[in-house]
Amino acid sequence: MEFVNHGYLAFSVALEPMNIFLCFLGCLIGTFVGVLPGLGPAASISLLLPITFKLSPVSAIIMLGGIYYGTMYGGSTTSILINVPGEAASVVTCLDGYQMARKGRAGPALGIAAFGSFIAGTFGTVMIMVLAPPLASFALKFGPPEFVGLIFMGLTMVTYLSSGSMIKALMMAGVGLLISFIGIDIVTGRERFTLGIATIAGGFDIVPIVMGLFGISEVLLNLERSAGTRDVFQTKLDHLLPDKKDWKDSSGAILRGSLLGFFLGLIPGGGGLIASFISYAVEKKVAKNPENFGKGDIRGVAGPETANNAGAQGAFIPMLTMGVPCNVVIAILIGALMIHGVTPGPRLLIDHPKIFWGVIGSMYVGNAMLLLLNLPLIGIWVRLLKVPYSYLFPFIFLFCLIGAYTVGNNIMDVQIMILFGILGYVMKKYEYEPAPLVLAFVLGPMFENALRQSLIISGGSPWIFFTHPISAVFVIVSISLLVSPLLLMFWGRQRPGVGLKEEN
Amino acid sequence: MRRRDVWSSLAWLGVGIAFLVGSLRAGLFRKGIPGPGFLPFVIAMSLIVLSFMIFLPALSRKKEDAVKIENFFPEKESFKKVLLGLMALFAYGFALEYTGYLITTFVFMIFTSRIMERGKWTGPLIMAVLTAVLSYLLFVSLEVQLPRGVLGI
Repeated sequence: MEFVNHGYLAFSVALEPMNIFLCFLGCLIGTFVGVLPGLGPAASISLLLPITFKLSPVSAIIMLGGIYYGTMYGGSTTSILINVPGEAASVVTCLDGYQMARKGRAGPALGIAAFGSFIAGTFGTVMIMVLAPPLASFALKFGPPEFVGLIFMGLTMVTYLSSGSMIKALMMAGVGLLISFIGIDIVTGRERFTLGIATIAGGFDIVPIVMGLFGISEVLLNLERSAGTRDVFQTKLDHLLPDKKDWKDSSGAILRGSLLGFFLGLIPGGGGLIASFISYAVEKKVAKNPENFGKGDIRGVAGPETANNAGAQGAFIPMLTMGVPCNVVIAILIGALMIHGVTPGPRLLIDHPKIFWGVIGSMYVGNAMLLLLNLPLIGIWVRLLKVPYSYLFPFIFLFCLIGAYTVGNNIMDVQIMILFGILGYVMKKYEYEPAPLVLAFVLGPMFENALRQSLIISGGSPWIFFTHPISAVFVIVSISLLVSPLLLMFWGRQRPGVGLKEEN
Repeated sequence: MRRRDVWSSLAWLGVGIAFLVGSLRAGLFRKGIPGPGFLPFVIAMSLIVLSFMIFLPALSRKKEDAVKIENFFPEKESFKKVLLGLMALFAYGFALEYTGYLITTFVFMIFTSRIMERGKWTGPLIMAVLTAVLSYLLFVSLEVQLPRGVLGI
């Protein structure tokens, strides 16, 4: 009965005309961003953040959420047609998707990607409805020490799953935390690390940081290469509906991808990218004829594309129930809710049931819309790919500039964004990943508050993190994650993230 | 790759030391419990230790590895293009409040669209006019505040 009530509330919010429209807009922009290589969901959500200021928090999060899972749909299109992933989570789709296109089977490849995404998205949403309420009531029992443990585990998990050097990822998490400390200390009201500069006394805003690190830096990297013409695969896009054999081949992959992606989405640092890679590896392993992979096997498209969508949906659970972001996009969504005066966490379900259930309801609506947007309208998106980059990048620049400016109507934010753009550009050259930095930046204030409160409760003794059982579990898991690379090295094995990079 | 690790780890080491000094100045403890500088101190220390974990192995790596270093800029023109792009961005930031949204955007679009390819003027010109005017109308209708500049437009 409760399930029905929740469902009713979810759809009554999601089906308000304004919210339907915003959900549609979000999905449309998401697909657009997913199709265009070089502009990821993180940067584009922060670009559109200012536009949502005048909306209600529910509507804002519905639209921004639509952008997020919309990119997961759109990303497959470029992977299949031009062998360039529209966003990171669709990298593996290139392997078999492009081969299918070359064999004249672009239609079924695009079709199975869209249907798989739809199935995974719907499955993920059902799972959120089932799992989120009990998890939220469990998390209500969390005090400051439990949150310290949880955030600590989240940060170590992100660095553990990163695809490059774990030491470098840890460094980036440290830098992110340090940046988050800049400004006024909430407990004592003292300024820290501001060097007397007035503009940063209030601390940095997340929007210029994300747009710099993910938007500007990406364009700068692309600017280095001379303008080549992209090779859009010339093929007739017919048979978008996969036939019986395609369905039979890929149903297992879709099922496994949904489950795998969803649970990986729950883990900090998991989400779409890792989910799609692991799904591909799993499909190759369970297949009777693994030699077909890489030569246009439909399972190699169905599995990863399903998994990255399920992962995108799963990532909402830690945010909705504990206020903890699993990936950069969710971190920005949390930032967006906070701008609207809503703090995501265990109390979200109790204090703002309309937001909680409205977002979930909108996911059903959004996934259905995306299926329509991606299949019949695929031709329009393909045409978009023919826009040369020399015309495209000024727009990305301009969007970033306006986005950074309109957040606080402050020109300093624009300069801060450009500086972070340079930082991100140099970081990529030196193989440092920006994602742990951004996540740590968002978690920093939460982490420090919880830590200091815990130590006040315990009178300064750090043992409090071990005497509270839940927090002890988190801390022990984190420590073993930090130590395990050494043990793995001893056994001559590697972290999952490293293998991920090699397959790239 | 390894030479880069040397320089990058040194840079982060510097960042770590700067924050270490700052956290000492903010105060580690207050009345026996952690003060505003406590956690920053711990994190800055960790960053310093981690920098050394990158720095030392990179330093001891043999010369042969150094041969593999890819140039920082992949093409001859790369540096120029990136620099022009950055100049355009900074210039936009500085000029926006003086010359107003419309004019600044127009000039910015023309300039940047010619960084990668220097072809005809007509394409960029039409694009710049359309972008400036249409985006201006869009933002005005969304009630987003844009700087008007000294000319009032």
